[in-house]
Amino acid sequence: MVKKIIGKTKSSLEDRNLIQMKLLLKNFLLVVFFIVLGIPGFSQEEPITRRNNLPASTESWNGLYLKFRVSEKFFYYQESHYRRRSSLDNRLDFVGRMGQFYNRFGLTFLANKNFEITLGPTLVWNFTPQPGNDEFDNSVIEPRIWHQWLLNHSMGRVKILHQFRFEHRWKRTNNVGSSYDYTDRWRYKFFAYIPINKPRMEDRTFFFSPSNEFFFEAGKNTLDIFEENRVYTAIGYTWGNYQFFGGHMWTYGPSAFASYRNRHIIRLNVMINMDFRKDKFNVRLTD
Amino acid sequence: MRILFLISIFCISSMAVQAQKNIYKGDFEWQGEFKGTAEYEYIKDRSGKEIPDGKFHFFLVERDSVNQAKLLKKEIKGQYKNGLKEGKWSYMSADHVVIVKDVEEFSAITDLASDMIRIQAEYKSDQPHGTWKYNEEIFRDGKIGLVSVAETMQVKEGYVTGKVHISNKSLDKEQFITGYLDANGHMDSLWTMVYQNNGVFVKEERRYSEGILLSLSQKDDESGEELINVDFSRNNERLKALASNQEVAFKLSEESFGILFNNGYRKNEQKYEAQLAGNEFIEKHILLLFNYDKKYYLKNGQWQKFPVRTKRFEYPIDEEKAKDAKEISKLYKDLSDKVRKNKESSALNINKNRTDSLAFAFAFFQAMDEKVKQLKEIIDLYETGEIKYVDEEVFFQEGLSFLSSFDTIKYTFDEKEREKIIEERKIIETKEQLSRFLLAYLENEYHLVDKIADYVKSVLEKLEIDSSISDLDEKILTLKDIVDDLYSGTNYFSDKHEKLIRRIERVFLTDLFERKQNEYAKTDTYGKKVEKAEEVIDLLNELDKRHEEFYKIFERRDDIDELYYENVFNAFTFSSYDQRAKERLYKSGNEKLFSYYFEQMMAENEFSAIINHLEKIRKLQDRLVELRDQETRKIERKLRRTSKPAQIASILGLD
Repeated sequence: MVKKIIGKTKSSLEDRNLIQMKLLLKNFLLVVFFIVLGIPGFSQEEPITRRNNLPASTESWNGLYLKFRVSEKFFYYQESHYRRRSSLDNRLDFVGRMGQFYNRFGLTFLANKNFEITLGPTLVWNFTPQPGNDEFDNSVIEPRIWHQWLLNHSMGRVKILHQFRFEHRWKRTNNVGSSYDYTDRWRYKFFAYIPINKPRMEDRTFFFSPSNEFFFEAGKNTLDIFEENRVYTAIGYTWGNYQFFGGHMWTYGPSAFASYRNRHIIRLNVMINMDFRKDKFNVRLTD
Repeated sequence: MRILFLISIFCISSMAVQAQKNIYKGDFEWQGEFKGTAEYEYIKDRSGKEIPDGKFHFFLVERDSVNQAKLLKKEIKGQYKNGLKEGKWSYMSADHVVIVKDVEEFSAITDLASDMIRIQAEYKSDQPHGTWKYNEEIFRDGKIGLVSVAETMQVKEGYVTGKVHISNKSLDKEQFITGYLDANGHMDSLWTMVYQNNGVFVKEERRYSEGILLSLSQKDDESGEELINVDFSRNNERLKALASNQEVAFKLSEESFGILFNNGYRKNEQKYEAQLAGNEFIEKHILLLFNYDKKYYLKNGQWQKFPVRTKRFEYPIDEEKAKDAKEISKLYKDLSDKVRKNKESSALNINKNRTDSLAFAFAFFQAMDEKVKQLKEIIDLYETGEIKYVDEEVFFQEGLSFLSSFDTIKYTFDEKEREKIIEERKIIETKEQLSRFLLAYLENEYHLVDKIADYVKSVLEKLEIDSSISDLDEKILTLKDIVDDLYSGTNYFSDKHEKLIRRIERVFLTDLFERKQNEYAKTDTYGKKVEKAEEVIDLLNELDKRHEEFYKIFERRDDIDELYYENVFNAFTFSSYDQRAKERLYKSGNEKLFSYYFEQMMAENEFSAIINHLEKIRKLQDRLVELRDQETRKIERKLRRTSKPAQIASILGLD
């Protein structure tokens, strides 16, 4: 139509002015058109009215927990995790990609039998989401300072614990050239130890250990304060200085605006608890 | 020549060294009796020992330790020649008590009371020899008084000779001794003494000839009453017989004797006893004279040499008598030993009231012991050789009443007084020869004593055996009751403990005990019976002893179970609990090996084998306790590879 309008002009000056006016009009209409398109309700797609739950992914977390008593009140604490996640093209394979290599250290002060405080550093290696893609660094380090309050009490044969953990993180994405962001994170975990074959938690005890942990985060570039919720159902067994437990954890939390991810994670853990005090034998001697 | 000269020089210089006198001046102890200071000359012998030679002066002044006003003073002067007293010596001993009554113008007014004894003596080569004199004076109220004096007498080679007069005025009435000794120091002629005896002043007169006592009489010096008049006329007759050279079976002894004259007199005889008081008086006063020469005259407080002597008649002993003397001595010893042994027998003493015979035997030995003691006086004469100075006729004169041919033994049995006459003795007719008589008598007595002793022995042995067997029976039964109660009342620690105890009860306490008891009951011979009884008793004692040990091994097992737990705090779950420590070691030792030993114990039929396993369990338990605090990883690694008890024991170091 525009081309037809341009072919029929008589005089040159009057024709040129007419052509220019028509061009302006066209561009104006185009702009209006696109503006109108951007206005919700005016586009062709539906407006966002609910969360976008991303398909679930799977991961495998394997952890070693150490708690060594070095004096009456002090313990050395360590966690080391080997975490893998599902492949990009197979969300259900649990181990397709390397996820994280996680090391948490700390010094714990046992105030009394119901309360302890821990403080220490954490060092996490976060691996590339797309192995082989040069746009991503293979692994980036994420240092943290963490501290924690842990309270416990009993209800009959059940041990109930309340863990308040605080982390101060310096993290970046694996994108090449991305910069570190500082965030504060606080977590509350409620968990329990429920002995199955013994009247209380002791040696050679099968137990059931459910837990739920809320994660909150704040930072300059943080959009959502609520970071994640983790529900964990584990069973375990105590044997001497060792404790073996594992189970299924389901996490749910925002990954982008209005998008929520959820993960099914199989966790297998070994906990080693040792006493390195000199008079560690608290035995009743005879003869 | 030169050699001779050198030898001479050497000899002369040696003599000069020897002859050269030194003087000692310093502390001195007189014959171990008292200490003071002395100054004397001495020489040295070849060995360097000091030998007094020359003048000697000893002086002592000291205050009495109790009464400070009393001063004791002694002074001795004399001469030594080559270590022996020689020549004149003087001894002075004084006690002075000075009491200060007043002091005027710095002058003390004192009262002095003194007692002083002076002895003038004379020696020849350390033997009293020469003129001797003694006097004792007192000083009271400014006056000197004579208390006692022995007038100058002659002493020859330690023996007093010649006239003796000793006077003592310490009492209201003068006491004295007057006598005469011949040239050899033997009492001779008339001796007169006045002395106090039992509150009475006695005047005693004795007559001697050549040292033989011929007469003795005593009178009350105040009333003149005759107290004793002892007849020694036989001695006079004998002397006359000797003087007239008659053939007699005696002679005057060559040996001399002390002041007591004895011709075979027995101690309770008048001839013996009558001399004692006078002799004591003489000895006391003679000793005053020789107070500083006690070593010469006395030995262990007994006279070994008496300055005043007597003689005796000697009755030679022929070969037969000498042989008899030996036999008498031996027989007497055997008899006295046997009598003493039976008299002191506690078995006889304890059982004396069991039977009439034993009661009699006990009384018999008591009586025989007295008799043996009485015989000793006579036997001593044979043993010392004094028998040759015993006139047997004199000896038998008083009779030997205690040597009777029969005895009546009185005793008590069953609360009744009884008596038994011993008629088994032979009647010994002869009394002519003492030794023959004694020998026969002793043989007779020994035979009788032996017979009764044998009887007593057989009775006691039988009693002992019966009593012993009865005791054994009782002991076994009592012990069995105790052990039965112990086992039946056992407080069981566990099922295993109960199983063990019940088995032991059945196999050992019942079955084995019965078998052994039957063997004991069937044995007749005493010796073997005792052996069997000891086996039974040993078994019961072992069962008794081990009962507690059986309990203890189970108790200890529990203790070890507790010991091998350690308290653990789970820092993840915040729970404290006990968990087994060194589990492999514990299970191997306290469970597997213990059970193995226990099963072995349960299978044994010999008690000694059970004890053996008990010991093994004890050792195992000791070892487990020991290993609790030790490094045992190596041991536990080895234990992982085996479950055989023998190997476990080896690994634990139990073999």
